[in-house]
Amino acid sequence: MTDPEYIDSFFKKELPAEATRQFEQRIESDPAFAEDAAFYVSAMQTIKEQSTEQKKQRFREIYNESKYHHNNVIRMPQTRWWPKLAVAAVIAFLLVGSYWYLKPVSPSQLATTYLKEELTQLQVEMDNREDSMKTGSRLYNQKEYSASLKVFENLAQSDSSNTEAKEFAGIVSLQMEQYDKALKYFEALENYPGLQINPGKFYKAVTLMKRNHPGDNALAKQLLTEVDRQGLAGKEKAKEWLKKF
Amino acid sequence: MGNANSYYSQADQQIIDNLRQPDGSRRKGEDELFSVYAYFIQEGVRKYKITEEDAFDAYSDSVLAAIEKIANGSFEGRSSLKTWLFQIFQNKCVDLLRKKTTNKNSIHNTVSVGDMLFQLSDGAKSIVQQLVDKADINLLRQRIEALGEKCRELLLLSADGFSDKEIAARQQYKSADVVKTSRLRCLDKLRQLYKQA
Repeated sequence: MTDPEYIDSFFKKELPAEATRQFEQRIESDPAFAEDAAFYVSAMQTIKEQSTEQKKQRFREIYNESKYHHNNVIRMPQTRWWPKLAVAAVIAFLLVGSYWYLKPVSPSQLATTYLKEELTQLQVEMDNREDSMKTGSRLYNQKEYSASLKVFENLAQSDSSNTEAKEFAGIVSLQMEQYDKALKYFEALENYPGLQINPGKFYKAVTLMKRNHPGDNALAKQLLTEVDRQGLAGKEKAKEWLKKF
Repeated sequence: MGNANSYYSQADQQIIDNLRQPDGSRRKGEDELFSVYAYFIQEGVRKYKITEEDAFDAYSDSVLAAIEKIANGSFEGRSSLKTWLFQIFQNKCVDLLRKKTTNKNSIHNTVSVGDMLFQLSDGAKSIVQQLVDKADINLLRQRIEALGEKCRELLLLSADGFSDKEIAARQQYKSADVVKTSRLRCLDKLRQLYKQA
C-alpha cells in the first residue's frame, strides 16, 4: 500500500481541509493510489459486515432462547419408565392434530380467530406525550369500544390525512360488528394515495369474511388474492388463508 | 457519558453506559439492549403482517443501528430508549416491506460503502466506487479469516468504531500509537494476502 497512514487518516477524518482536497485530487490523478484507497474501503467495510454478522448470530441465539420465540415451549422431563405410553401419546396427538389441521375452517371462523388473536390490543406508544390517538387506543384496549370509536371518528373527520385514525376506526367498528361502517373506513384507507404500508384491502377482506353475507366470501377471496399478488400489508396471512378457502 | 436523563429509566441508563464503555461491558450492553425489547419482533409480525424471520432481521438491524448511535454519542436522549428504538424498528419494517413490494431485495455480493465514501468529492467517489465494485468480496472474506486472531480482532474493533486509544485500553496495548501501527500493518498484510491470489 502506497501510504496506509495517509489513507487511514483521511477516512478517519483526521486530515485538515487542504490535505483533504489534495487527497481527492490524488485519487483522480494517480490510479495506483485510488486502488489503495478502494482496497482500504472494501477491507474495512467487509470487516464491519463480518462484525455485524457475528453480532446478529449472537442475537439469534439470545432470541431462540427467549420466551418471545414462537418455538419455545416448556419441556417436560424425560419419562424413561413410560416409553410405550409416550409413543402412544405422540400418535394420539398426531391423530388429533391432523384432524384439527385438516378439518375445514370457515372464512368466518378464520376472521373471528384473527380478531381475537391479532386485534384485541392496539399499540400505545410509551412516551410522555398524551394525544387522542393514545386515548382512543387505550379505550379500545379496555374494551370501551363506543368511546374509542368516537375518538377515532372525530380524529378521522378533523384530519382526512390521518390514515391511522381511519384504520383504527375501522378496527373498532369491526370489533363492534358494525361491518358497513368498518368497510367504509377500510375502503377510505385502501384508496388513500401514497401510503407505504396500506392494510386497507386486507382489513376489508377480514370484515367481509366476518360478516359472511351471500357473496362476501367470494369477494374476500378476490381481495386476498390481490393482497398476495401485489405484496400488500397482510400478504403472509392472505396466502395462508387462501389455502384454506 | 452517563448523564442522568428524565426520559429514560435507570435500566436504560445502565445499558447506555455499558455501550459507551470500551471494555467488555459493551458486549453486555449490546446483548441487554437486544433482550429487553425483543418483544418488538412479535409486535412487528402483528402490525406489519411480516414473518417472524423478517421481523427478527428488522429488529436486529435496528438494535445494531442504535448501538452505533449510542456508542458514537449521536443518541441525544430526547426520548426513552424504548420509544427511540421502536421508531427505528418501524422504519426498518417499512423499508423491508418497500423492498419486498418493489422486488429490490435480491442479494448482491458487494459491500455497502456509502458511509465511508460520503466524505469524498463526487469525482473521487465515483472512481473509488467503481474500484470497490470490482473487488472480490468472497476472496477478501477468506483472507480476513487467514489473517490470524490478533489482527482480525484489531481490525474488527476499528471497523466497529473504537478509536485507537479505546482499543489500547481494552486490549492492553502500550499506547494508541502502537495500536495504529499494528492495525495498519495488519491491513497491509491483508492486502498482500489478497493480492497473492
